[in-house]
Amino acid sequence: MIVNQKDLGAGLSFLGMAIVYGRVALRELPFGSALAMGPGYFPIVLCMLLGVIGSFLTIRALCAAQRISLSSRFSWRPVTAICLAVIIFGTFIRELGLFLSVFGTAFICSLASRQFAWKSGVYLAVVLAILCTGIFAYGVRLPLPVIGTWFTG
Amino acid sequence: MELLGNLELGFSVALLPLNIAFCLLGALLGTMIGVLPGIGPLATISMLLPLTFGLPPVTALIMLSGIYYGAQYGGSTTAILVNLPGEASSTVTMIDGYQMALRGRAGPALAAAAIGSFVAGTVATLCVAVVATPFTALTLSFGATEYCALMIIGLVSSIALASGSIIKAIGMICAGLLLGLTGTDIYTNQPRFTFGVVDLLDGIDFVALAVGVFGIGEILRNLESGETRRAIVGKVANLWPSRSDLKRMTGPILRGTAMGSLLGVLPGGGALLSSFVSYNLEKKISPNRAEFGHGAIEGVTAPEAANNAAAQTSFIPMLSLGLPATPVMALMIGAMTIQGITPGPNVISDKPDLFWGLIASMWIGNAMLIVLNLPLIGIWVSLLRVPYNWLFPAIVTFCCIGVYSVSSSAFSVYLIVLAGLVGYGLQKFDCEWAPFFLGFVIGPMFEHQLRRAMLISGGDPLVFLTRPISATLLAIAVVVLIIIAMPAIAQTRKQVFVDDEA
Repeated sequence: MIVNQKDLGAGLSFLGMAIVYGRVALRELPFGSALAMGPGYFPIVLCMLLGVIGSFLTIRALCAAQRISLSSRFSWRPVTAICLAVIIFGTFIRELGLFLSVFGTAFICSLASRQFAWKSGVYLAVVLAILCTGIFAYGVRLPLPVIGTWFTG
Repeated sequence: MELLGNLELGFSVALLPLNIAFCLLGALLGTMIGVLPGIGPLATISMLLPLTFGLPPVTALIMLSGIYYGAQYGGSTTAILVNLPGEASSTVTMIDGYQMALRGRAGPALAAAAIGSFVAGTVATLCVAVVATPFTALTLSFGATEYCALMIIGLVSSIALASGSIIKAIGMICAGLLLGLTGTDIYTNQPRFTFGVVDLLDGIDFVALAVGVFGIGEILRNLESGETRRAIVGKVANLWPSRSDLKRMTGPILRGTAMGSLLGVLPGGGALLSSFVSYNLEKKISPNRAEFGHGAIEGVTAPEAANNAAAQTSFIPMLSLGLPATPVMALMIGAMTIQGITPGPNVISDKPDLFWGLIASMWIGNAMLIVLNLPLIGIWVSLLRVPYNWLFPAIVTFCCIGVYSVSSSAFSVYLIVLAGLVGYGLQKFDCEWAPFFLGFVIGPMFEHQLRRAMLISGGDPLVFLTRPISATLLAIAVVVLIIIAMPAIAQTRKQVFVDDEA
């Protein structure tokens, strides 16, 4: 079968969202009337519209005249490294403090690149940690602990 | 004259040393992120929002605006020298700008872009100053119905902004509207679409979403190719355009400014749109038509003038109505709210110093920017030599710090990851995010006004057509929709965006 993968992906995403949100809205939110719209009114209308658009795209994709594949390759390395770096920041900022969090986040981030090198990775992380601590904690005095609760006891 | 008195007040505020300093900082940061591909004003402003917490409201807005219009200047540098859009709205500048650089005329191209931006910025700011007061007066008579119609225009014109399929753009708008509704319903206090997560009761954090999609998503996309080198073309010598260049620039600058000022006011954000409309206009009417695509100076000045003019005039709906024309303006509104100011028609009368101070600062900012971008161009060129491998860990880190300090919650930081992944994924399906964000921001406002309108009219949807202002606005929306869908325009849109990819 000839499939336009881009349209298919978009169509299924829209359709999926319409179904999930539509179900929640129908179950939990009263629809109301045009005069006194309930909390479900607008969302349900939107879900129907989104569902129509999603179905249209999906059908159009399946009947496409020529095959269109997703353009570029996918690589796990950047996705894993960057997501991990951000999650670690969010989870441990209180415990590690700003300095170490920035160091860790920046270092894990730099692992995302295929041209990663230990020396420059550590160097960059140290520079960023010093800069960020200086600017954000001492410069503009954001209420972020420089040293985290794990070290202050 | 009242305007002069107001401007005097404005300059007395904008010329305070603190405000000048932050205006300069904004202009510097704006140029910097404009030059650097892969980071735009939206992500930057979200990241730097916490920097403004301790500042007076005017100063905060002056700096954030400086970042926004400064980015329009910086974007052209990268477009001309590296053939990459430093900023989305400079995609059109690449076509002829890069060709000029290849022919050893990088200097005049940069100068043409900067001069065009400067003239446009100055004139468009004057437009903002002149138009804002009557516009606000007009909107004071707006009721719920009119606001609804106005928002529909906004949503419709944001479709024009999307380069790809119209249907996908509409889908993204709906998705944005839906996600925007997340949180507690203000009429019934019922939580909606929170999936039991307490952090979602106040809605989805816009800053985290924007940082995720535009910051992290963009980085993931840049990293997948693994290529991080950039080739800078030519040396930037003899910056000043020749007399004949100047002569050829005048018309395009003026037309670009007019076009940009006009389209910028449209909700939906006209910077990108106006730059390609004015490029096509010049291509049609210029006597040097044949040179377009091969380094015509008109093809650099006109779109640069247009996008900068649009960047200035997009402040009009935000300042006078409290309606964001673009996602960046939504962040500005967020910044105002953090400062305890309710955006809307009352700002101009309640806070004249803020309003006029911001406008006056735009002139000062534009004057700073032309100095930053012409004599100091060397600095920005060297910035382009910073390897991406150093840049992206810094961007990710700033994103985390920014989002965490705005919300103080780990949940918002996790949201960055989620938004980044979804942003990265949907981009692969050619879905664009600008319409989504407009929908996201407008969603709750639109529903609120729609419910009010229906309550007042007794549930009669015809009220939108019987009230003259709302009927006019809706007619405009229909016209815009028809224009977008017209085959001729669709063809032009396609062509412009194909040219970009080349």
